[in-house]
Amino acid sequence: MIQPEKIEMTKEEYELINEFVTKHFGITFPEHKKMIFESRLRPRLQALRLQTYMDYYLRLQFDPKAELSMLAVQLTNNESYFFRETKQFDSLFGSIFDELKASSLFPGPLRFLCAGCSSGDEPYTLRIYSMEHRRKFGGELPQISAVDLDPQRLAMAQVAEYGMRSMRALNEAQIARYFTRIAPERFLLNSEYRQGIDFALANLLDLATFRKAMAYDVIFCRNVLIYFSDEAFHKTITNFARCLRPGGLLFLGHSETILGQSHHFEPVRLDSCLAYRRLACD
Amino acid sequence: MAESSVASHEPTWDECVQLLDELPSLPIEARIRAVERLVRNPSPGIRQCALRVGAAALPDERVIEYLREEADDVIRNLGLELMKLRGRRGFAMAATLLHDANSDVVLQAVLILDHLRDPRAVEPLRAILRHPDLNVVQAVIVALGHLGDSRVTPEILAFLDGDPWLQLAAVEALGNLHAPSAIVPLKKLLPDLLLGPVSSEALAKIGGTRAFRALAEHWVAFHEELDTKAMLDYLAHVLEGLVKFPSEIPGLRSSLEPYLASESREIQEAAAQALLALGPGAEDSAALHVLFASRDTYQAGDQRRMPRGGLPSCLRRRKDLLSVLLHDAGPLREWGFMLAAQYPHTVSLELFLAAMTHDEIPESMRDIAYVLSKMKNAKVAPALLRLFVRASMSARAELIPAIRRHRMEVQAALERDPSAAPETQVLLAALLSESADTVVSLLSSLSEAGRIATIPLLTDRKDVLRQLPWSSWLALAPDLYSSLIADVVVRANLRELVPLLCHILEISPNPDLIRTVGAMGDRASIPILLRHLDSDVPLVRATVLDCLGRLGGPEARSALRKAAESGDAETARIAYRGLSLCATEEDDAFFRDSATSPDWYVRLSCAEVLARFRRPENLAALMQLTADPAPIVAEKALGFVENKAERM
Ligand SMILES: C[S@@+](CC[C@H](N)C(=O)[O-])C[C@H]1O[C@@H](n2cnc3c(N)ncnc32)[C@H](O)[C@@H]1O
Repeated sequence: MIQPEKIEMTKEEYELINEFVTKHFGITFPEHKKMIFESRLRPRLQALRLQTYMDYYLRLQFDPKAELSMLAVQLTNNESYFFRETKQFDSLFGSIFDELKASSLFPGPLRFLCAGCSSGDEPYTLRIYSMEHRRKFGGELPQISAVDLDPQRLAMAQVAEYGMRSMRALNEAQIARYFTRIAPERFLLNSEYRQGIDFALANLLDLATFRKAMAYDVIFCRNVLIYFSDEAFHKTITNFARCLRPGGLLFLGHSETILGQSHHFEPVRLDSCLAYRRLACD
Repeated sequence: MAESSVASHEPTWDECVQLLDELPSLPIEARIRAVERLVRNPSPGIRQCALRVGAAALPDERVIEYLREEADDVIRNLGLELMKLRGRRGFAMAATLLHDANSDVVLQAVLILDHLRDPRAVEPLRAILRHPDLNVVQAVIVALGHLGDSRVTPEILAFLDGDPWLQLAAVEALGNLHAPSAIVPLKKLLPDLLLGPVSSEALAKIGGTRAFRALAEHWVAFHEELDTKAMLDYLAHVLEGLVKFPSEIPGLRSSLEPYLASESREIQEAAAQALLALGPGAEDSAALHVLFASRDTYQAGDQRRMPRGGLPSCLRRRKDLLSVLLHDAGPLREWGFMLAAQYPHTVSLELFLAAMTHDEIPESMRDIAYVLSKMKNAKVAPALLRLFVRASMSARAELIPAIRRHRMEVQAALERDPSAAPETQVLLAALLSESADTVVSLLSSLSEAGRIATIPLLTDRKDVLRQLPWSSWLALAPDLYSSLIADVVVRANLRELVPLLCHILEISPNPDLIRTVGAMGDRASIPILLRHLDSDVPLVRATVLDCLGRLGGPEARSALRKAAESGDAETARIAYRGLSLCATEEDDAFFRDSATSPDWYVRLSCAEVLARFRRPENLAALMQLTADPAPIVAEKALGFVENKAERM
């Protein structure tokens, strides 16, 4: 009997599938991650009873609808937790806030985008921060759009139940304040923090899937672009430039930068972190 | 180099992308100029592509010119990278440059040889160990270390007394040479502020009991002042490599134990590994928990978190822990099963059977099956049966060898306890060699879902598979059974069912069936496949092309050529690949013409065909492909050219 776990991915198959993944999702698996790539896809071969990765490539290329979302589920790195790298939130709701609010183009609430929101830890953290600073908003809390490629993560985000890993940056008091313990190591986010966020399936390479009629004031895209190919990176940044209003801010993860790589943005130093401001003209 | 030949400003991203697209079709001179520009782009991806092209396209003299370039670091570095990428072809050139009058060039040559790791470099490098330029000597020492030929040890040892810069290199090299004769001198260097840390690393690489003692004694004396994480890692590493537990070193355990509670997870983990690898001790239980907490875990079907990645090395020799681990009600039990698989004759039968039939179904089925296959006892079969009945279908596949091994006993146990679900009964009947008639009728009595789950596990009961009423099942639920039969036919190699598959294919083209027909290699199916080349379903068309390539023959080839020429880009690349699998000499001109296709996958197929049919014009086209911007194409082509060069 052919053991599915013995099926090996040839270099050629790796290149083909990686090319496909990069083209569709932006993420890329460099050669030293081939083993990981292979093992993440293996369950799909098993589920589809395919005997080679080439068969899987054909499936992807010629019948993508059926498999794309499963592929996203397998390949995305969804690591996320509440209150991750809080300096950026502190600055957003601190020193830069008034300027941002004053320069807003549209009336009504500010519009935030969480691009690559995974299981919701980041947009919910934004919501928590907004609630904690509600006085600044004069009543209307920001509207948060949270998008991701991975349907399973989005479903988890909507349920808003978390385990210990998501809590790793919180102390006991914070956990008690924002969550209800529903099992020894399971926590449900309290309902007031679950409002005002609109979760949606979207692909950052495809602007139409996340652009809104009114441009965003702030985009968070943290720990997403590190997995992207150069080309997808450029495309995504250009997409952000198109849906962020002039003067709006883009926040990236601490190991990511667009310095010198886009003429649409200028870096702004905020307290102890960096953000990128959308320039007025192209 | 002439200033004008290298445009020295950084090209923009868009320019680079355009240049890269054009590269495969540019003439050699233009390619060289493009490479010189592309390497100035900061994107690693672009640089890498440019370098590959350069490595294959540039003549030797040009590369040497780059290496000599004093004013422009980018270009000098380009020379170095190019030589590295040339692989074996770069060796002779680098070896010659070792005697260059310019010591910068010599240094570059040493770095290249270091990178190539070709054992032929040992003697030429050894010959310049006394080069007047210390930078060169340093690089030579490091390179000799990497080459790992222990005959140079005495010469390297001599540098331990010299210039500190060379001492450092020598310590590193001695570690890489795994030279036991270096243990004593390295031990002496441990207290040295500068050389101590590198000496520890070198001792860790050398390994063995003496290196361990040197490290451990040093640790006991100075652990508060040392780089804790690094030292603990070294200790754990050396300990895991020892063939038996070391003899006691006073103060070692007590100096390790506090680090189990370190603030750093990594330090905790390293301390736990070291303590566990040291052999039985009072800290075992704490260390085990730290070790588990540091492991990457995955979620099992029932939501429990399980350790990923097999048995940690520090537990491999700890058969004394079998009982503790197997008694664990949580995930540590999995390590117990893995450890038991290392000591199947030592593990207590009662304990093992109790652990595997625990309420929470184990994950490590393969290890369990292995242990059970080594055990002889009447109690094994009932326990095995209990586990099998509760396990998922995929876990059952792992247990099959054990079931077979204890066939009679399992049979008896089954008769005593006939409460298993119908699918399980059928599966067991098949595994326990009931007659084909019986198994077939049992299978037929199952629900559809039951059949579909059970049949894939029966691939070695060909007698059963042949007799199943496939035609009527397929008529009832074609989608459901098409994939199943397709899967079973390939896995059990049931050629006699291929005509049936072809028959179904005529009516309903299903990609799974097409694939199977292709895999079974029956050319009689080609006319049927050809009919589906016009299907509206893209996956059907692509799968047909893929299969035609595997089947080959004049009809398949001509259909593939047609599709390669006329299909959309995605389909064409599949057709090219198919054709490359079954190409004959008549097709090589077609592939030569396609060698400048914009699709790397098409060019890859070209490389394969051109290498297969040796003609001067094919070789010339293949040479062009060695300079391909897609690394996989360049590597393939280069591989072919080099092999060919050796053969001719
Ligand atoms: C590592 S998580 C980061 C989560 C969160 N931003 C944080 O920093 O904690 C990256 C997320 O990006 C998502 N992602 C990756 N490629 C994407 C794409 N092309 N479009 C939308 N989301 C994507 C993944 O599904 C994943 O959930």
